[in-house]
Amino acid sequence: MNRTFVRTLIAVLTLGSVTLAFQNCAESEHVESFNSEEYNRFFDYQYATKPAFLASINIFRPAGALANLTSFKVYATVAYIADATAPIAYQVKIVNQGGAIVCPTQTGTLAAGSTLVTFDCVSMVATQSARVEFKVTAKGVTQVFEQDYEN
Amino acid sequence: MKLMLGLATILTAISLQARAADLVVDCLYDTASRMPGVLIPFKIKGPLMDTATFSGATVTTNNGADCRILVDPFVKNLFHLKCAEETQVMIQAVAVNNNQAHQVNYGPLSVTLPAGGLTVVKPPTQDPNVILGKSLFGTYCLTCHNPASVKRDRTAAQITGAIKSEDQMKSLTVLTADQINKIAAYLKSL
Repeated sequence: MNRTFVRTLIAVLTLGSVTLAFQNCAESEHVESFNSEEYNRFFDYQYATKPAFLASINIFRPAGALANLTSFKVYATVAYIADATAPIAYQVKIVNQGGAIVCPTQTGTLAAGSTLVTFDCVSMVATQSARVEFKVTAKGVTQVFEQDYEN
Repeated sequence: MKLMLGLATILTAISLQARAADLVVDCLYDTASRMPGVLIPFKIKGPLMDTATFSGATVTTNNGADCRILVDPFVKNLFHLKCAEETQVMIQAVAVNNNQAHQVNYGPLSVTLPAGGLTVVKPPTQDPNVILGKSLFGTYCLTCHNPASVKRDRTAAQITGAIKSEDQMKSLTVLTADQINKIAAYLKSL
């Protein structure tokens, strides 16, 4: 093996190793069509304009509990897009079909990096349907999210 | 020869490190918030994103769960993960800079239900147009028309007419016909 060949080989290997480091260039797109019915049903994307907050309201009941709105757990998530380190003040109010408060309104502040509000709700009034109102404020910006539930 | 091989190794290491530092994915929700059925938001960021364009992302799971990625239509460099059931995922996000694709991996990330054998209480299924219409009403109309029920059953034609004739509503000419239709759908649902 002569020196010229060896030097060429080394140069090729060097160039190849640098190139391979930037390999893995296959684009991997997995973007759902914004207009398909199935997409709408799956993602349930609820923002019609650019949101300041990203939030969701979820309620759970213990396994084996009656399938009604007598007693349930609330899990509300929120993030402030512009600044993930900003504390978020919140208020969670739950009212029934007549507008009566279902269980004590929860208020507090989420520290930086914390995005979950959770508490138990034991209904104080007859509740055939409930509306959860989740009001959030960060850096002077306020937004209200709502979710309805039925028995 | 040893010098050339050493140089090749150093160059390779530098190139990998630069890619890792220039592009990162950040989950905006804490661990406890990452539940099935929730739109979990992520941001792709780093120095590379000053000039790069977020191309998209893919997700793989450890158990074949139905998980999908949605690129946010309004917020730059933001995408959402939603899984229909509990799972553990790996996400691959791609950004393109000067016609060169750069990929960054995120995970594994666990998507789990709260502990305690809880079952989800599902809200009643709603027409997506009604959901979006409600959001639009909240943004553009609720300040003056609160509660929304005072405008129950207003049609798209009535809303359009009001925007043209009412001085206080003239700023709402920014609304498209599609958006007005969605607002009307929401008002009809009340």
